Amino acid sequence: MKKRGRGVASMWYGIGNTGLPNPAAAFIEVLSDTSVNLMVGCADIGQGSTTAMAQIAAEELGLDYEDIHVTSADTMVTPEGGATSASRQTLISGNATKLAARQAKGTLAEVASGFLNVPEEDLIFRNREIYSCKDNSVRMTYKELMAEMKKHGRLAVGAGAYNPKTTYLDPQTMAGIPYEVYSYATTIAEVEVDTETGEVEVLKVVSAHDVGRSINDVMVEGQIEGGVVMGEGFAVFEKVEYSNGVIKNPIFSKYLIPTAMDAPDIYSVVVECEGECGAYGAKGVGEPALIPSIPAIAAAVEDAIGVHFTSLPITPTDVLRELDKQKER
Amino acid sequence: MKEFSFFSPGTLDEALSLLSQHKDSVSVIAGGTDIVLELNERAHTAQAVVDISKIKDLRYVKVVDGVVRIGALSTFTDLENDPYIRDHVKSLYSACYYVGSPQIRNLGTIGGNVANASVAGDTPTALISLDATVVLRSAAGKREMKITDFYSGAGKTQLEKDELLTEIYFDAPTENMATAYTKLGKRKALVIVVIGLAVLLERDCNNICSKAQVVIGAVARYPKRLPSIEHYLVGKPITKETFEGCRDMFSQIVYDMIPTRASVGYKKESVKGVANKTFNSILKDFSLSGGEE
Repeated sequence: MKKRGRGVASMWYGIGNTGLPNPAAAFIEVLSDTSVNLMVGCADIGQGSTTAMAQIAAEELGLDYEDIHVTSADTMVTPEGGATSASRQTLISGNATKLAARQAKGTLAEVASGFLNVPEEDLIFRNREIYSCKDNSVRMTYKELMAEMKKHGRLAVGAGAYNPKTTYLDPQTMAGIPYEVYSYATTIAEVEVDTETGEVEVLKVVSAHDVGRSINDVMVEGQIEGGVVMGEGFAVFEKVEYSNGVIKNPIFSKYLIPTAMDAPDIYSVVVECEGECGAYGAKGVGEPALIPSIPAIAAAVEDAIGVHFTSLPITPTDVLRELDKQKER
Repeated sequence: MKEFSFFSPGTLDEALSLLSQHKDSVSVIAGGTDIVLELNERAHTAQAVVDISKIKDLRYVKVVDGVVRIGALSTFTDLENDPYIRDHVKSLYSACYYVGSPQIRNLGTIGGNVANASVAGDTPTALISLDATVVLRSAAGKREMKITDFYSGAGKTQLEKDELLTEIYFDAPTENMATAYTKLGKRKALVIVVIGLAVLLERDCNNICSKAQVVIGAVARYPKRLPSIEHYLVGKPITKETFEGCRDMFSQIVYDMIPTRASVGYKKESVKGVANKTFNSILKDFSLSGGEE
């Protein structure tokens, strides 16, 4: 018989460790053809941080995404970026990128202010143009600005470094404020359990994540989808088998992760709110995407067959064993 | 990887002559989905490897005079996409469909699956339920045998080193027959079979079972016919109740096959679910109630 169940799980997750120093930096230069070199230590391991850094630089400088050429994680030229871990890069390298862009923009604004005869604080940089917020007919293109820069022998360079305010934790109790900001999420999973074969099929997952400000919706959705499938693996497939301290299945034909055929229908919900300290309010979603999917699936299995599992993964063998015990009771 | 000589004949005659020349130490490669792994893992020691994949004449599916003939080099994808197999030989269709992934199915051949005799092969289980015959050729001639006899050797198949499996054939299922194959695995794709169950049933005009061929795979070393189940089914009406009546028999059969194996606890229980799925598919094919919706 097939039994369906639903489970809900919520979480909050700290982004930007403050217990210890946690810095990252960026270098930037706007070139005379209005293209931009951005150098960040931030390593893109597939999550899309290089794209996000380019978007943040473009937003700050009033240029287009296509104008930004990013060199990332190349220790020959890029500054310290810290680890791509702890869901921190959008927050920390994102802020460093924004600060670097702002410094370069300071020089650009000085020159534009002289040319347009508009106070620096009234200048708006947007869509490859610079104009006055009081009268947008007073304007110049980025190309004109870069020509003007050249005339004055000015270079639009910037360096930015960001470190969340290090609060340190109490060495005895570890009490304190451990993170700069928190991400929040709720995941709902629907599963179908085959009570004859013990198979658990994850049918549908809805996962809603407060990311502060979404720098790139499609990438955030991708992160959520990846996290859900990874969570499915943790919940029902991935089992490390060992004996006498030796792992018996260190190979992907025996340590099973979900295939595309196993992935559920995933509905990613991106929630935006005041993100406080991040660039444009962006927080992080890397780990949050994974975490609540696991208890949501386990709770859905419990809802379906009335068994509360206390270890993962929940394999077909476990399901049949527990159903058998249930029958005996 | 150990060194070996590689041959790529374009015709069957050339291939057979190469096999007879090198029969002391030769391996045949078709799709390579099994043997390339063996080569890379250095388990493979043959001095000569004969690649038969260029012999186009061995890639076909045809129905002639009520007999389905399948060339050994037909890939799983070929069979999965063949309208006749899909509509009339559901057990073989399902067995092919559940092999590995699209990439593996594009390369892997039915001949390789049969000849390699992996304990976890999908198509042998289905082919035994269809009472298939294999055609083996060598430079010296040709012989044919039932696929059950092909697997009767002690731990190996009946294939000699100078022989090539060239064709598999079986009687085309009639209007009064239904076939089904169920694969239980640990996930939905790219997975080794835990239990495979293939069934062919024939009914008479009163919906009484007149023939039953039931085969279980991945439990014993080779797929095995289950005479006690077949005997139970023949003469009974084809209904959900009849099928439910043999669920516990399946459980006992699996237990008796592997009483000491660690997986026996799970397999003897889950086989009941596998049997249910398979028989539901049969009921559906016969348009009887109780079949899967």
